[in-house]
Amino acid sequence: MTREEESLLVLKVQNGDSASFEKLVLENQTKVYNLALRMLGNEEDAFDMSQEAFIKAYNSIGNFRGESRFSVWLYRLTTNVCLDFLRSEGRKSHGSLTYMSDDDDEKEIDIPDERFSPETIIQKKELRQAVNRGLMSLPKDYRIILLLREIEGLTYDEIAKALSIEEGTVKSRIFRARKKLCAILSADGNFSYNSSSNEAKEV
Amino acid sequence: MSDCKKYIESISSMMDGELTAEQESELRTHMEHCAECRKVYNAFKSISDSLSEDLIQPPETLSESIMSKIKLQNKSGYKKRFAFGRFTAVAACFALILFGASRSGLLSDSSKKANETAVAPREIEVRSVTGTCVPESGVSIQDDYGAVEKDAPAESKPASEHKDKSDEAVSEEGTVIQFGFTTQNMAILNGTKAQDIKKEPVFLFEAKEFSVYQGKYYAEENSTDKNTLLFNVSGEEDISAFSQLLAAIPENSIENKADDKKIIEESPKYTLLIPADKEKDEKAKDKIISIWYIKEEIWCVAQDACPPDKNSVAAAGVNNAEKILYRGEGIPDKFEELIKKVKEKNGIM
Repeated sequence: MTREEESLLVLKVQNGDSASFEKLVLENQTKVYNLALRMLGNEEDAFDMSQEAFIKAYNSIGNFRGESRFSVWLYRLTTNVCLDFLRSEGRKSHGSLTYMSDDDDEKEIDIPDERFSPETIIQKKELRQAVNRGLMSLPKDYRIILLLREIEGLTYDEIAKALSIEEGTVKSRIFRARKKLCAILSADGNFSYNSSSNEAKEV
Repeated sequence: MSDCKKYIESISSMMDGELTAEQESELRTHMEHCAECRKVYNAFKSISDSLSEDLIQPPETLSESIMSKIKLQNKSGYKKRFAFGRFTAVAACFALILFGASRSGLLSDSSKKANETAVAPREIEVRSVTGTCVPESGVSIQDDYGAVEKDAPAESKPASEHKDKSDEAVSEEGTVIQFGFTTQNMAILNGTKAQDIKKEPVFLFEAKEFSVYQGKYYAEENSTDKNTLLFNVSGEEDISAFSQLLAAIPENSIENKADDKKIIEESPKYTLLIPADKEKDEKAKDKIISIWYIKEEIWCVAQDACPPDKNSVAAAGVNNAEKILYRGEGIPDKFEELIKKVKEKNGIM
């Protein structure tokens, strides 16, 4: 969907056409859901919070002025909805890791990706699981910013706007988030990245 | 190879496409010779790939569920306001904010009673939303102000009775009308839990008149001379103009922060006084809505006109407000414009 198409849909919704909102939902739901899923760590909460984020978006779409892409605005709402939820639940970031259950493993095997050898699939899958687990151990700020970048594909400028922080902070926070995640993964033994290489050795 | 520290953060930026071509080529040259940095790059890259390749499809029921909730919500009549574009909104919502306050049942001491009162006239309320405020004919209320169609003839009442009666009012600290973009957010917090209110939208009321004061409004006796009355608003046109404007303020359930409290301790820019409709309910209390312009936003807090302590002033009670009534960006200019128009109309300059 181009930005123009998106703006047109938003305009239609602002003018009372709720059917157009459905198109926006279909276009954005995967990313919103994945953002919520990785923020919250389980499918049920991710479903509820995605729903809440979209309804919130619908109800306040009059407030959206097209300064950013609609999706950026939507991710910001999603992030806030998830944070509120985490706060209200008083949840620990280590809480539930159920979404990468054994059932999911089976599902993935059902849909093999032929680009990769079976061996690679297993490695990739293991890595993905490890990354997802590691993500839940990251501090919330790090988790959010990494997700906005990696899943939603926002630019630093967009992230800065979405989180109301400086662009320089975005840059260093993403870097630190990656570093931290690497450290968690290598501590788990899932990663060849050596935590000691955080501090680059001088040769 | 002493530059790794300098380069390592750039690796992260490079993956995100945030380096200039020059910076990128410098980094790549460095990486050709530096195994450590390549290792970091590979590690970051595999995390990145792993995250971005691994999008899970949401359950099919997600979009269905969202859309059915929205339809349900629209059925209640609310979302029709979208038909009026951004800065216009249905006077319905408005009637709630400005005039909801004037109806006592909702703000009476017993929150239970408040709920009953609120729920009972619901049908009528909805009808008045769609009939009164949302012209089915498609006439827009988007123009400057006052184009709302209404079936009922305008009724204006002399503004006379509120002054002496404020003493009767038992004030309630922290009574705040919380108003938002949706019905669910419009609520009167009066000892009732916010989540209870969300389930049962309250209101609609009709204001016949209200007064606009410059600055703070002093409710106590013998303070009439302290108050600067700008004008009374009684015509339907003017009332709807205010209503549209205030109703257009979106999303608003912002918790008061300590700093906010400091700000709203200061005298407001304007105060709207909505006299109680004693005919409908003799226990009704006058209400005020204090309005501040904070940076680019408008902030409003609604409360009883009568201060908790007779020695204090009305606006002091604002500190106890649990929530800011609403804040909206870009509204102050429009509000100011409206004030000016009404002034001109009334021959006040």
